Amino acid sequence: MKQRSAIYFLIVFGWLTVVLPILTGCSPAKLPQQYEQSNMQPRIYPDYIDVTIPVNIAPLCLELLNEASDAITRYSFGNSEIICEGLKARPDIDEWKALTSQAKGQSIQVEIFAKNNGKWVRFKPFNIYVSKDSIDPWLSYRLISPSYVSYEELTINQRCLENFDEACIVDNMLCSTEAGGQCVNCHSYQQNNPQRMQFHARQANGGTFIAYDGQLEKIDMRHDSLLSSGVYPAWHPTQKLIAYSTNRTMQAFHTADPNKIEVLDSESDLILYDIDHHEVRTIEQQPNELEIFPTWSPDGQSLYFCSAHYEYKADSTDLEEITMRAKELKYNIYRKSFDPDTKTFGERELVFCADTMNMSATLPRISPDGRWLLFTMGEWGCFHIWHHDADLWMMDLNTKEACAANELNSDDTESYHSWSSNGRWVVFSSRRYDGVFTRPFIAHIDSNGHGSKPFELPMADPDRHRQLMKSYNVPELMSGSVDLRPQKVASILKGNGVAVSYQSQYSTKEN
Amino acid sequence: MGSVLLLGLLLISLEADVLYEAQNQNLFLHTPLFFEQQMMKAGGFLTWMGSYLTQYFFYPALGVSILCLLWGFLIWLIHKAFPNTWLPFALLPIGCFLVTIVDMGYWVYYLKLPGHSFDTTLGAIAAIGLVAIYRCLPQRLAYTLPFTLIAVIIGYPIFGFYALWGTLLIGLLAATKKQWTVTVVAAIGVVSVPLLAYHLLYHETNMVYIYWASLPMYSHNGKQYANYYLPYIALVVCTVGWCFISHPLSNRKWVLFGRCGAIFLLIIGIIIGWNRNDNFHRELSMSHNMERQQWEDMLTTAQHVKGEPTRAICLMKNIALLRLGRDRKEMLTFPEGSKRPDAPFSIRMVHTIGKQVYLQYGIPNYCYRWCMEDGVEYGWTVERLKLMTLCSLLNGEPTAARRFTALLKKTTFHKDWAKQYEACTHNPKLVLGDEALSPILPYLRDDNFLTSDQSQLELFLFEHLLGTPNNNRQQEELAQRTMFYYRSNHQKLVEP
Repeated sequence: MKQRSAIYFLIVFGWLTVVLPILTGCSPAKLPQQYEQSNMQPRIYPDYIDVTIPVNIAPLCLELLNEASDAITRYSFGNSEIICEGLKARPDIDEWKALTSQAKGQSIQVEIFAKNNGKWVRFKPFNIYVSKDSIDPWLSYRLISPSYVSYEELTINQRCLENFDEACIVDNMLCSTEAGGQCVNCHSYQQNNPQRMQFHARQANGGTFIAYDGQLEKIDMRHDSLLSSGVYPAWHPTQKLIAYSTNRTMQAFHTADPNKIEVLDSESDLILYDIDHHEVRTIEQQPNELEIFPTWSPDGQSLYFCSAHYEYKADSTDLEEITMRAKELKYNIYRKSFDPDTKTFGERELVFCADTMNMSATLPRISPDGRWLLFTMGEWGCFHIWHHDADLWMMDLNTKEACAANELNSDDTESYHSWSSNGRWVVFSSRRYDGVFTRPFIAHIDSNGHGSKPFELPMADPDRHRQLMKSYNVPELMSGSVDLRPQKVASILKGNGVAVSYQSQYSTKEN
Repeated sequence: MGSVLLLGLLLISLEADVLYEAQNQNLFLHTPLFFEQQMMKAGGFLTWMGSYLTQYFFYPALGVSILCLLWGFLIWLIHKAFPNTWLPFALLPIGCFLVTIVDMGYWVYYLKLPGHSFDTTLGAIAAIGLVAIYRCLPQRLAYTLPFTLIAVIIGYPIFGFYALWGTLLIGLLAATKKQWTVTVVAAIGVVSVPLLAYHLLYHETNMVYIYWASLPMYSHNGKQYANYYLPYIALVVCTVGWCFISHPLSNRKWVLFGRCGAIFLLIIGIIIGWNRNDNFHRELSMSHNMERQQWEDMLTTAQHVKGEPTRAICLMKNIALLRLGRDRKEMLTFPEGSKRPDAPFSIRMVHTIGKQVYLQYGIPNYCYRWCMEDGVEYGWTVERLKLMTLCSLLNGEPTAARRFTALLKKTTFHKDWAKQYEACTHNPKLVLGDEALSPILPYLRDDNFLTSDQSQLELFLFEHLLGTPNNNRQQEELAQRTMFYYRSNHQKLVEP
């Protein structure tokens, strides 16, 4: 009796889970024969109207936001088409790859039909331009809730841009206990190479994790001569050197300002870490300067960074004073020449003077061809992810002309950005949808530095980003996937770190 | 079943506020992503189910009814799994479940286990259920061995610790029947499956916690509070003992003695474990009234405090007096005090009623900030999403407000609330007439200060309102009411 019941259960279960979906899934969607034509474009999420995409990107799944009981979406190029039924359009990956390959250099047309009260309406079609330029196939980012002081689960993830595969590289919970949590941050890669990565872990089992061509190491970068361990990293493009800022960071909260929080450095300097020799040297440590955000030129012969001039009225660092005067913190962009053979730096030169514009420039990143400098501008300060006014700016290093990258910007925050290895794409952080959660956007940059309309990272479920209560932080493109498991990383972090030695400065101080 | 019903009635009559708060500090979303996020840890299905059922405490009687049904089902399962067990002893686990709910107290704000109120019951059903199925199988190795393996391999990802507990019981039962192979396999499974899951499946659980997956962590600021684990220890010890009862007792004297002993243990355990702190229950009641703008009810509750009230009660009482336009002197007719909250760990008001207080005082940024901080550290909840919606509306951030209402629309009981406030995002004029928001509008200020409350709610409020210009008359009133107590009791306002 029991056996027969089990057999009946298996039959019903099999029917529901295997046979029924196959039967119902076989019917291909068809375009409605009769419909009314609308002059309006559909409201969709994400906004993929007239965006430019790389040929190798995953399908752009979208959701119709207009009132409708049903919808049909048609992606077409020439005689090829993909038809998706339902309010969420989710093209098959293989069909999408075939379509984008055919449409390379041209555009896919998207038509959306919506059904309401038994009648179909066809919205005004829009295009998705398929660039001939491909993009690095992997994207790495930290997933973090947009909190201010507290944290719980933090992961550094990687996502294949050619499909929807996502995996965790680092998970702080493996090293966190109720007695002590661990924060992980500032992951970065040398020349988009996933085999050469570093990130920081703070508090419990803290240290700097460096992976270099299969060698894994935890570094204890704390030293009495340094303000802190290394913070914002910048890999030298060719040598086993990483420039870091060292920072004393604090936070204060607005009682009424919509920015809600201000993250400030009361002190900051620049250091250079030699991976092979575990040596740290100071690059910049000027007494009335707050140096931050190092980045290298592609040829490795210049180090760019941001610096704000600030003189304390008190005799020493006064946190209350700098909080009161937070709006005076205006960062400019500088550079210092670097001789890779002697490992010496030249004097700082001003590259972009934001403070004369009463603005503050941060996060400089240079395109692989060395011509374009992309950075973030806000009214003051250095932590622009919390500034609704923050925008991306582009500077032509040949002509020294800079302007807002209006094709990329929105009415809300645009911040952290990075270049693809071929210099034709940038990925950046934006809070344009709700001003709360950061999402990665990808935009094409042509050889003249002009950007195309950016598109949001495509997801298998287009609604996922509207449910996810985490932000994408520090999006970095990679040429491949990181071959590390979170458990392996945790085991390294739980060990002791190699202590660094502090050597003399690279450049002399200015009094 | 009569005992179960009695316990249920006690819960509804004495703990309705706690149960309502449990669902307020819970969140269940009808989305694949929510399910996926729960399943990222061992025992995720259990917490998913627990979160789902905790919603029903929106109507405490409904939630308690479901709980009683589950308890009744568990008693039946116990009878199937341990047929020689005396029925009164089957009530001991029920007593343990009850204690895990009624001794919660301020843990309701701090426990990081979703669906806690139901998790222990559901987990015990899983564990005892495994034993019951084991009992029903033909007692041959060809059946018992694969079942033991399946129980632990499939059970651990779904039920966490409770699957290990169930497998352990199976191993013990097998040992009593000298089926040593099953016992050894059960023991190996209990030890090794979590390790394998750590290395192969999950990356969100520290190694030190893999055997306690889906159990609550009674830990705060790095300190463990061991006595809260006693009901769980009692549960395990109880069931382990039952494994060794080979035949029912026939001696009537011993049966009577056993029944009386079981009932005595149950009553004593519940009395000792039951948190009946008056101030805590009044705080909950007043915060729920504040949520619904029931200012008179708040005053009634504050008026009848037994002994010295907490600062939270005083703060909420002051807000109610202000909203009702009562004279400042009426404040003197209420009990005043600063009794520390009845909890073994330090409680900061910013984690309990503080967010609502910030909102009522017209500082939505600080309400929003603490909702975000606590949402990240302790989990997203209905209360935090609602407050973030209201803060966003007051701040003129309709897209942010829509973000939160979109999530609340995916809950069971808060859709209507979400739709009401979603309408405000499309038509801001509705805010002017909203019962919850319009009283706060006069308190909003244009001037901005970059500062920090250092997690000291009342001190910050007092210093901010009296130390900055451009307060309106109402804010002066609020500050004066606090200052009245502050003058002679400054140190007591500093939260430890």
